[in-house]
Amino acid sequence: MRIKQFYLLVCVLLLSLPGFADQVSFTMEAPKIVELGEQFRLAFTLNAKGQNLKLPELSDFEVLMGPSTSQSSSFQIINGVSSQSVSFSYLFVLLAKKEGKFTLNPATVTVNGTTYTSNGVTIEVVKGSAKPSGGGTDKPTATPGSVPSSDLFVKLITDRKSVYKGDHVMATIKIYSKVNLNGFEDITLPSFEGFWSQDLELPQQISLQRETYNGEIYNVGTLKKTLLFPQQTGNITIGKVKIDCIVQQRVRQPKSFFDDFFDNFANVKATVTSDPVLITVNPLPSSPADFSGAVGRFELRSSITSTNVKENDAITLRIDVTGNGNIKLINAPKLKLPADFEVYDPKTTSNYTVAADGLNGNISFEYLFLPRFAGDYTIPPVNFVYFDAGQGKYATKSSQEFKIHVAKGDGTQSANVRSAVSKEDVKYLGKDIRFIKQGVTELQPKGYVFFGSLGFYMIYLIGILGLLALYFFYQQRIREYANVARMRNKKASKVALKRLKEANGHMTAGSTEKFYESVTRAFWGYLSDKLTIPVAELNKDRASAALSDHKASENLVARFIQILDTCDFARFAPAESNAKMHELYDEACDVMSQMEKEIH
Amino acid sequence: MRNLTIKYCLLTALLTAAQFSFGQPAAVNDSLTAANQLYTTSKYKDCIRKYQYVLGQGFESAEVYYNLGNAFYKSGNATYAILNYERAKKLAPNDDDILYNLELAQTQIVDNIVPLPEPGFLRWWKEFISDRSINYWGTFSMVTFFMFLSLFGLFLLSGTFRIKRLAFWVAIAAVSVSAITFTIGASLQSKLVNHNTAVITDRSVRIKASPSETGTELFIVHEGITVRITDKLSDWVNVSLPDGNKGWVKEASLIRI
Repeated sequence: MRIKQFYLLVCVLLLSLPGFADQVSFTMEAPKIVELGEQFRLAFTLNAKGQNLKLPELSDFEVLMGPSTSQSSSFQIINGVSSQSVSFSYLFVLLAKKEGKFTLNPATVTVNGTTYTSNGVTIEVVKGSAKPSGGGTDKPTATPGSVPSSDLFVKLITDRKSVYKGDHVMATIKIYSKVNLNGFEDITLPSFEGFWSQDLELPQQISLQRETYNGEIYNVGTLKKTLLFPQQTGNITIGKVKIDCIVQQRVRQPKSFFDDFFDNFANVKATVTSDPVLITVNPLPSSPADFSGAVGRFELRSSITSTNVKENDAITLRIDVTGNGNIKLINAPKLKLPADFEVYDPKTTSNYTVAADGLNGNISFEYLFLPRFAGDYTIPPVNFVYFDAGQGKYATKSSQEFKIHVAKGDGTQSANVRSAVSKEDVKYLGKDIRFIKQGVTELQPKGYVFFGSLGFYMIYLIGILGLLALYFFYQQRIREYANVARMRNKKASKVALKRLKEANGHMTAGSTEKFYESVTRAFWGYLSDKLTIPVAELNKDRASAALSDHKASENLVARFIQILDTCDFARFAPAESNAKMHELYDEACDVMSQMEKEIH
Repeated sequence: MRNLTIKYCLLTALLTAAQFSFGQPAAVNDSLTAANQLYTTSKYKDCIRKYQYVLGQGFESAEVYYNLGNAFYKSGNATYAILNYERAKKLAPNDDDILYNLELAQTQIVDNIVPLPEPGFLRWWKEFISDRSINYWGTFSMVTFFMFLSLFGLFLLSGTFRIKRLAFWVAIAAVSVSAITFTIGASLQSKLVNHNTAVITDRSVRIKASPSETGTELFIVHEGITVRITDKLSDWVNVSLPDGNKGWVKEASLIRI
């Protein structure tokens, strides 16, 4: 107790110090809806001491009381940091005079010479129920222990009943009450099957607001607000909401003296259930090929880390989709990269807030890829196709086109080397090419081939001409040779006779050796001329064969051989008589004349 | 006998005359010597420039292409090494060094293309033809033709029937061989002159189904692949890969061998 008093003292001391509140806030508060003839409060709250409060025009209302001022202050120390707040409030009690919507303009107040303006307030005055004014809570219930369903009910309200698949539906669960609600015991929410749901953030404390429903004013509390994204088409039913409420009810006692001063209250448990809601989910019209699954309204931005890189340097292309819709459910758009880029899966990050009009925020896709080979490449624009539910048709946003220049790498981690190693040609590692061919080589003009050139064909021609020349030359020679042979043939017998006469001379001279020699020479010379065989090539066999060829009779050839044999024999055994020489001479003359007859 | 000698003298004289009529200037020879020196001292960039100067003067030889290919290989450019080895191989198809280095350079390229298998006989025949140079076939044809001429001469001039008959048949055989080798030489020469093979020089090339930018992309090849050009339409060429795949590609993406 003492400590509390001490703090209070400190508070009071500190309050006297001016200008503690660093930010002045000035607000006006009033119920949104009032019944005609109902009394209500208009409150102004200021977190500093103010002066010169100027009220808005209140001619549409009757001011019953006010201003009554009150002030509160708080002071706290958290982890050694002290903070203090003070609050002044001005309270008016008004009475609604006529039906309609009235806007109270902002009020002004002066704090330390500065003028602050409050917010404005709109008050709707409706025609009240026939019951006399004074608040529903005071009304005694007809049947104690039960709450009529017209006084307390729960509703699940959707902002629309028909929606495209992927578009969002806002579902709000509200409790309407005319009774004194004391609290909730158990709340059973539907499971929202067939939807992807995102809850909106609501204040922990459920505050009741006045609203009209079917012309009557209820205190309405919003229990839950959920964004629903249908994941299937057709009719989807959202199940019931079931709430167990605790209602404070005045229990009527038998009329007694104290009745007017004391009331007896009892807590009554009342279970309320909402009606199921049917949502019709329409399928999307036939979608283009590159539809991303996005429904809503979006903008697209794209950026790239670099457009001038070396081989195997990583590039990141980032695509940002910003807007309103089912952001979480967007698929990464397809990036058409040149075929031999090494591409990794896109990295997706999303950031959004849940609001009454859907999911707002952005989703970004980061594509990491590595160009493997030098060259100039073009990354075509990325088409992001989404469904605009508002207009009921598909829309396309395109990113910009990027041109990438890839310079040749320094070769330290070249793809070439890698792929060469990956082949099964490792046996060549450590091998090297053979050395150059040394020395001055014989060059030839480019494109020159001896084959088919003029010189090439000339050689052929020369060959043919040479053969022709040779042929004619030979023909000539043969003709000449034939003439010589004929002449020798004619002269053959004369020459032979001359030699035989010579032999005759040797015979008479008695020189035996020379006689035989002359006879032999006469025959050989004759045959040589007659048969056109060189003397050097003649021998007995050749001569007899040649004679046979020339149709000489066998007898003649035998006689001829006989003469040659006799001559040879006589030359090496010279002791021959003269008679024998005569005999041989006559025989030789006879054979010669015979040959002349038979050989032609 | 004497006439054959005369003919050989004529042939040699003609060949040497042809050789002398385009004798190489001293500056080119000096460049070659300097380039070989630069290669030995590992200055490959300068070496490449020297060899290219020689080629720029309008001369070529298998050795220069081979050495230039080596310099490219050593400076890390396998694609141009392959291109020059292929050019060298065209001039000297059976040079072992060229074939070895070409095979080694081809292990450095990205794509692993398995050539289409050919029937054994066809492969043997192609190898048999391309293993020998054009001038080999040309000379072969010429020699057999002169053999034919000699034998035909013998057939005409011989007095003996048996020699005549023998000469006639051998002459027929010789002229047939000459005609066959001439045909082989002519086919090789058309290959050499037409430049219908090429090496892809762009780092990465998309082969299209039709000769336009919008054509369907069939497959990707990378630099260093040797292709055969089968058709041409404005600046597009139809190429055939060793594995049998075909498609259109911009002519700027490749260099003809």
